[in-house]
Amino acid sequence: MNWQQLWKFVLIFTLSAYSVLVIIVIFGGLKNVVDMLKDLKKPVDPK
Amino acid sequence: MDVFATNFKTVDWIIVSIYICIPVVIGIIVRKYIRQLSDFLVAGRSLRLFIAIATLTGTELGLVTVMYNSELGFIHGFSAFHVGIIETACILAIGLTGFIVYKLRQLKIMTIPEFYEMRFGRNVRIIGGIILALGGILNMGLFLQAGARFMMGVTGYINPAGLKLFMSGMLIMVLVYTVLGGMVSVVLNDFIQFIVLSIGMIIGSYFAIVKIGWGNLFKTPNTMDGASWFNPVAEGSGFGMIYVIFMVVLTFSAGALWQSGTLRALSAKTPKIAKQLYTWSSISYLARRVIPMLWGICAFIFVSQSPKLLEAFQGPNALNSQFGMPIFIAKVLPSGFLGIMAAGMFAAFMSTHDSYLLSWSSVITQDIVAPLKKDRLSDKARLLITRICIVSIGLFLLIWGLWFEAPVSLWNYMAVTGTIYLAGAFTVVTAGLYWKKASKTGATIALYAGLLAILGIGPWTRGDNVPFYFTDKFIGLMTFIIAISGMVIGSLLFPDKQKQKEIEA
Repeated sequence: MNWQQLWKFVLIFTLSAYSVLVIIVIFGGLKNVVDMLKDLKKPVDPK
Repeated sequence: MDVFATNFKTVDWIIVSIYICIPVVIGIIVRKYIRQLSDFLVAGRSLRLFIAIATLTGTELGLVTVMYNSELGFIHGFSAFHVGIIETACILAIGLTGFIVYKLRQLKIMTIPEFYEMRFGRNVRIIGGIILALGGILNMGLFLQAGARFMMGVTGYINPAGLKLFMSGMLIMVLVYTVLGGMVSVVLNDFIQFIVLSIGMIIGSYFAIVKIGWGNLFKTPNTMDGASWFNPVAEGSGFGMIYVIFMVVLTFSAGALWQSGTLRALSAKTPKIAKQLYTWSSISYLARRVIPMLWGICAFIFVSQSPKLLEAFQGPNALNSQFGMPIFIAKVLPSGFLGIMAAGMFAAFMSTHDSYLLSWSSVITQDIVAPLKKDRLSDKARLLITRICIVSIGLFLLIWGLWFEAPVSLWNYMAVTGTIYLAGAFTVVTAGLYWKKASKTGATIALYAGLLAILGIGPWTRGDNVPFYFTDKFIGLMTFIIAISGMVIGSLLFPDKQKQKEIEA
C-alpha cells in the first residue's frame, strides 16, 4: 500500500466511522442528559 | 476572484446571532443545579458514557482545533494526516488499557495536581498547579486571533475594530455562562455543539470533496512536491522523524493528562466509563484531525487553481496560512448552510473557551490558592475564587490575543506551550502511579524541566535556516526527555525517606 492509498483509506474510514458515532451519541446522549439532571437534583451527600 | 468574496449573507448573520445566545440561556437555566463545588467543577461526577463522549469531543474539537488542523493540511497536504493517526492510536491505547485515567478516576480527584499532593506532598502540588496554569493559559493565548481570522475569512468582514468587538463580545458571553453554570452548563453546551458541529463537518466535507473532485483530491498540486505532499518523513514535508516522535510523546501524554480532557474522565460516573470514554472517543479524535485537514487540503488545491488567490498567499505580504480554509468554505458552502456551519464553529470556539477557563481557574483555586491557605477555604469561597479567576483569565486572553504573533504555525505553538505542562505532568503522574521509587525531588525536577519548552516559542525558532536544535519540535522533544531523566535521576539520588523505609520493610 502506498501513501496515497493509505490516506484514501483513512479518509473514507474517518468519514464513515464518525458519521455512525455521531448518530449513536445523539440518541444515547439525550437519555444521559436527562439522567444527569436527575442525579444533580438528588439531595447533597453531607460527606 | 476576490480573496474575501463570500456566500455569507444576512440570513447567515441572523443564524449566527441567534445560535450563540443559546449557551447563555442554558447557563442561566442550569444555575439552580450548582449546589457544591463538585457540581461546579465535575458536574457531580454524574457523566454517563454518551454524554461524556459528546462533551469530550465538544471540548477537544473547538474552532481553534479546526483552524490549526486545516492550516496543517493547507501547508503540508496529506502528510499532515500522520498526526491524526498517531493521536488516534494513543487515545485508543489509553482507552483499552485504562492507562493513567482509570486510576485517577478511582482516586476521585478533581484536578491533576491534586494527585501530586497525594503522592508527593503539598509543595509539589503548588509547583505543579502554577506550571499547569501557566502552560494552559499560554496555550489558549492565540484562540481569539484564530477565531478572528476564521470570522474574517468566512464572513468577509475585515474591519479590525468590529472584529475585536465581536470576538470580545463572544468571550464575554462565554464568561457569563461558565461563571453561572460551571461544568453542568459546559456539558450541556458541549452536547449541542457536538451535534451541530459534527453534522456540519460531515456535510461540509461533502461540499469540499464535490468542489475539488475525488480524483483531483489525491493528485499533487502543481506548486508542491509529490513525495512530501503525502509522506511525513520525506525531505521537504516540514515534519521529519523528530517531529513524528515528538507527536507520539505529545499526543499520548496530552490524551491522558490534558486537564480539560481528563476533567471529563474525572467527571465520569465510574472508572470503567472513564476508560470506555477514551476507547469510543478515539474516533472523534481521528475526525477532529482528518476532517479539518481535508478542508485545508481542498483549500490549497482550490487556491492553487486561481492565480489571484495564489498570489494572495505568496510574497512578503502574504496572508497568514490560517486564512486558507475559511476563505475556501466561504466560497464553496451555500448561504444558509454557511451560517449554520459558522454558528457551529463559533459555538465550538465558545465551548473550548468555557472548558479551558473552567480547567485553569479550578487549578488556580484548588491547587494554588487553597493549598497556600492550608485548605481553610470554604466551598463558597472556592467557588468565588474560581469565578474571579475565570474573568481574570478572560481579560488576559483579550490582551495577549491582540498583540502576540507566534513565530511558528498555530499547531506548533499549541504543541510547545502544551509541553510546558505535559512534559512534567506526564512524567510525574506516570511515575507516581506506576513506580514506587518516584520521589518528591524527582517530581519537582520533572515539573521545572517542563518550563524549558518556553524556548520553543522564542524568536530564534523563526526563519528558514534554523539549525535543528533550535527548532520547536526538537526543543519540545528534548523537554520530555529532560523531564523523564530528571525524574529518574532525582528519585534515585534523593529518595523519599518515608517511602524508602516502606520499600525496605
